[in-house]
Amino acid sequence: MPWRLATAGITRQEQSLIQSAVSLYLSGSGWQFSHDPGDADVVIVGPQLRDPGSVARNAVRVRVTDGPCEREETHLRRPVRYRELLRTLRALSSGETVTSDRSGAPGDTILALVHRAIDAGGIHYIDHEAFAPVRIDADAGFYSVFGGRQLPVTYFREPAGRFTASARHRQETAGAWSEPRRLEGLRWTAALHAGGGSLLPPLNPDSVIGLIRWPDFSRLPHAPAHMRLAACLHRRPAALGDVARETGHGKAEVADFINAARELGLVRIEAEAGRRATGRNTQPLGLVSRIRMRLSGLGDHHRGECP
Amino acid sequence: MKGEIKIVVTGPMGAGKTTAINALAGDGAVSTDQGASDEVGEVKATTTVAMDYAEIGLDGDERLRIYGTPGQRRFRYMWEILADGALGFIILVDATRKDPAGDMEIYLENFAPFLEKSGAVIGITKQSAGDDAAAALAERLANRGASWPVLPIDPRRQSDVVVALDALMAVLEFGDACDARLREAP
Repeated sequence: MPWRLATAGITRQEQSLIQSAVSLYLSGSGWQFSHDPGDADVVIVGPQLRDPGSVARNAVRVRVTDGPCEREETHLRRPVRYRELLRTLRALSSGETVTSDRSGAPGDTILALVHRAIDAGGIHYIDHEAFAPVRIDADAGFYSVFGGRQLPVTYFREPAGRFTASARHRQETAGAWSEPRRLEGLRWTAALHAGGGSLLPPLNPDSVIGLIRWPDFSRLPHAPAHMRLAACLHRRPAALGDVARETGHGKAEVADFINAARELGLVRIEAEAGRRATGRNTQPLGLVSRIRMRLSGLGDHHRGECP
Repeated sequence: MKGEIKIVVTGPMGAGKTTAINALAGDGAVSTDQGASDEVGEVKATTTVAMDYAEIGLDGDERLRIYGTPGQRRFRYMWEILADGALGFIILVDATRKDPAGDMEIYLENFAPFLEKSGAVIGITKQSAGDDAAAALAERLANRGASWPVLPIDPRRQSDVVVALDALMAVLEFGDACDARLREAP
């Protein structure tokens, strides 16, 4: 039985974009566009909706909005983009609530600019009015932050459109930039935040994913959960939901980790789609938990920021 | 001390076992290093002849004991004594030696009966920038069907040693370790 998707109260352009997205990209995964919001499973609604009663009572509503939304409400920010729309609808079919507040497409963050810099080679500067400038030496594989500051998590969640990139910089003065840091750290952290809790294309919740090698955790910023996710995925490939169940971590956290590991080429997608049965208790083992808790008090190895 | 909670740090001479245990425990570490009077003296000034030891207090009276084995094979009688009942292993491999993967294999073979019941992390030390010895080791491990991490670590840094221990905990949690102590209720 396909998911029937309809629209109500949105612009004609938005409707035609959504209709074409469904027929081009989603018909193969069980979605069908319907012109009747009273008979749809999912309705994308905009502020111009005049008759709320025309929408099926049990339909899932995805609100198109220019402004803020309730945190738990599934919504799309204007302008509606293909990738964001596809991500939202795929997440809905896997039972997730999508609360992303970013206006750009997933992955369209600082990560996109870093990729462009690496592809072009040489020295590049990335500016943002609210954050310290970043210099990328793509050939040497290092980056520096002006003033030697740390880049906060919010930096990595900014849409790419708010950054500017250039080959020259007005603040190019000796001694003002931090010591070179490994570019892998920037790529890892950028990718960790790029999906906003969802897998970046071409991965999707049904992809069966394995970890080829462990991330270099002694040189990458990481959270305690990342160790457990690495161990789980390295031992046996699995789909997003299975890893979440087995480890007890949220799907969003698992997706972020997979995005980051994929950015560094540590992930492989298995050819065979299939789910593994798991009988493991998701509760961490007692002795392991006690040792891990004690280790968390030693060293400064669990860092949430890019080094 | 069959019931003790212990981790064994092993690997070839000069890989950084004593350094790692000292970094973890600081002044609390106990070492049996002796001045090296034979050909070992060409490599380093002292060598471990029995074991290195450190402990970390857990809840109540419980202690996690960390033992470092002697690296030289002539002291290998100590290896089995120390490995018996270990929860897991950290195998340190020196990236600057001629055949780091071969070194790793020696320890995988010698500790095989113990590794089957537990788990391990491979820590590669002295790896210089641009050197990817870790990749070769990871491939060798994968060929053996072992899904253990290979992590470049600096044994002088406490945070690196903690990362290796943390990784080992994750391996024990999701691997095939069958130690009954791991199945205790949280």
